[in-house]
Amino acid sequence: MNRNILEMNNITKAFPGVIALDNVSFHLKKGEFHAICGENGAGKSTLMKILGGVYEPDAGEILINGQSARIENPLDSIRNKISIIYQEFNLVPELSITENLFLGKEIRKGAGLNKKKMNKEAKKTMARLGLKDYDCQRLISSCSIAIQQLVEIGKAVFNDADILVMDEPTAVLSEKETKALFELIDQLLEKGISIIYISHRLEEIVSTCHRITILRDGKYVDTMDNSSYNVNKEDIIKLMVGRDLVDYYPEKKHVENQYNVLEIKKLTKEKIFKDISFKLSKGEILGFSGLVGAGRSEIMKGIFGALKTDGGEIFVNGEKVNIKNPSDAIRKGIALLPEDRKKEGLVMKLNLSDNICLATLRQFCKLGAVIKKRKDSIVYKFIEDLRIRPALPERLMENFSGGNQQKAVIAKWLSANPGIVILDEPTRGIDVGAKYEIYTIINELAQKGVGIIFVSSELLELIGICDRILVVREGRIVSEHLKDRFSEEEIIRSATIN
Amino acid sequence: MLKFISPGKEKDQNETISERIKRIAFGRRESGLFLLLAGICMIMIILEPDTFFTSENMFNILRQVSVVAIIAIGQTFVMVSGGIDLSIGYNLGLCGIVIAKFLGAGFHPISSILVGIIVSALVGFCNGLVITKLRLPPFIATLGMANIARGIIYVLTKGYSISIGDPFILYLGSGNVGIIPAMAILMMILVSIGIYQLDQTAFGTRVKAIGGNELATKLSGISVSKNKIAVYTMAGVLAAIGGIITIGRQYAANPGAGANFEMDSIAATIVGGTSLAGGQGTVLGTLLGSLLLTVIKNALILLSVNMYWQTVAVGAIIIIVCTIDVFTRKNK
Repeated sequence: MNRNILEMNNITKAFPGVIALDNVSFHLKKGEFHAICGENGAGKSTLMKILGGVYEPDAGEILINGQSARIENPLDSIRNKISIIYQEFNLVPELSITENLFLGKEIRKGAGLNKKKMNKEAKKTMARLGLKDYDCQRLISSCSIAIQQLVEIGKAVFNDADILVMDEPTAVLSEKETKALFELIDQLLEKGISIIYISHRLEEIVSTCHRITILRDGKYVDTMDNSSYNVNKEDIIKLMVGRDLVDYYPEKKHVENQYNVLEIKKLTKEKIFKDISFKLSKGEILGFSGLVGAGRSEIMKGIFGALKTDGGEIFVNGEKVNIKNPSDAIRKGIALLPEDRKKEGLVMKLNLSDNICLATLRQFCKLGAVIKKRKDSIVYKFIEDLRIRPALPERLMENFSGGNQQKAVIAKWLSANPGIVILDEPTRGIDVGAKYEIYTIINELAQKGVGIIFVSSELLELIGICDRILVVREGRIVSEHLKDRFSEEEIIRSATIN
Repeated sequence: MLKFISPGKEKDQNETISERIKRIAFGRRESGLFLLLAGICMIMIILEPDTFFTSENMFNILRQVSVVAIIAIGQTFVMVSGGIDLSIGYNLGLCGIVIAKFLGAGFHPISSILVGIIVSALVGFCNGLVITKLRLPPFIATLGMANIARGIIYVLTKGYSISIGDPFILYLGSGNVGIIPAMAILMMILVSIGIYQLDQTAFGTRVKAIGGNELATKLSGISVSKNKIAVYTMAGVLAAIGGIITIGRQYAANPGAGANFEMDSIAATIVGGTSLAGGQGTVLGTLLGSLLLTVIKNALILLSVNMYWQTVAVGAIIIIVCTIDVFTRKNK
């Protein structure tokens, strides 16, 4: 059990604007259950994507069984007997379990397939995973998430994987299914398979993993020995966070105001979020923290009318409103900057000017015809106010940088003159300079009296600019934190631990 | 305050003359198409000096292109919105038959024409409803509607043509304003409106936005369904106008009149630079696409190429023009 099956040494990977991994080393022993911990953006996923051949590192080496290995694409990774189960499964929903297991290595019989043999083999594999006598001809799309995950593990077993990476496998599982998964993991470990485990659930980690490696800001922090299961999760949190808040966030004058621009009462969407109640006052920046998949984005979409809710009430400026679709919300002065600006925020094939005016076209029209002068004056105002560069309104949206695209989405909503602005991950994937500009814009808005909801997975960012932070876990608001008493450790604890 | 020098045009100060020619010629799809069109005309003037560049032949080309160009405006809007309309051809035929039936029953020509337009608009409206409310893919919805329209045509006519004697309709399809065919003037008016509508109105921007990113458009508070229904209805109305011209040109409403027009309109639209994926396209490009395909057909006739080979040539042109487009886009 002492031999290193995998060594990743001095791995560095930079993306435009950020260094995702800075000289990180990670060692995995044979038959070991090794957890990687870190905040969102610490570099866990990037490290695994390098192992999976999705990214190529800028520097560093990978040794497998002591031999240098080149992993340039996903196929290299599979050849080196590495299997990675990403959060989004790599299964074809309209094919059966058998067909998914055999994808790319079908057993042939003459010109056709030997379906009988394939089904038999598939059944055997699934039985080894504890799923006896399961109908392997069922389509993946008709299987539960837990079964789909088993099929993914089945694929790994099928590929004779020596190293198995699991990225947040329990995030989507029930308690019972989680227990079954850990039993299965024990079996796999006994067979000599080594497992890398990424999870935000620290309780699971301290009670099951052999070693724990911690990353922070793309740097290696420490590897803790947990062979006798005695590591304290508080210690892990300290190492995950452990840094000072630098003077990175613009100064904000705290607005004392009791006037509620928005009040949500018991908003519910079955299986996604439940009994969401909170108030937002004028000029306040209210943060929403929580793990990915906790239901934050869905709550925001529910308020905005982009997701149908099952119950609850929404009050804008003290008046009960009925929001059935986004245009209702816009009429009530609510704006939502969606999480995924490319998919939900912008039309890449339209130019900057049209994107800015998309939500407010009617303002610039007379009898349906766009009045260019009126439109241009608004567009130039926002290009200047938000410092969108290059200042070319006719340039296609797809040719702008991420930060400037995000500013264009903000401009689109500001042109609607909203009283409430919801920002969902507004700084994701943009560089440091642009982040600072966006914080400044948000501050200025708040000072003008706009109520702001700020959803982010980067806790430091929330602490840096919010007046108040609500933590969402598993579709519920579990705690409230006030500015004078923000504590990273407390917030992480309430986001992760029951 | 920053000064904006002619907003939007990113100009390179150090551009050489040859680079500049290249940019103007190939920078926009329309200018490339125009050059190609001009090139073919030049070749024809050399090859067939006596027949090609005569006023008679030029008006002939205009007559041939008008109907395709008119219905292709509708197809352009549909395809820019991310859809496709396979029912345009039979919808065109249906409108003609309905008008002929009403005229035959003794109705006033204007009311007959209005009924024809309303029927075609309804067909388009139903396309829109099925696509937005029943959420069927446009290909399937309009394919179904094409067959329904075709079926109704044969139910109404039992396969026989109905002759048309109304002077107004005949004037639209066969008359001249001065020396220019009336239908060509109608086509130019409709194309101008189409260019303006797609480029300068809120509706046009919304159609492009829907085709470019439906979800983002919806989240911007725009009713995707309403705009899509409007687009298909508009395509129906334009098909109706095409249908009126067609019966006026043929002096009869033929049950088979609309066959293949949907494919011609799609070809013209695609050659004109509209993206099959939606979000991009211009009506001017579509007009040039229609012209290009028509001029090539006309040229092949003058060169006495076998009729069946003409069809092969048109198919080849579609593939060649679009291939050139793919490569020039890659090089950018």
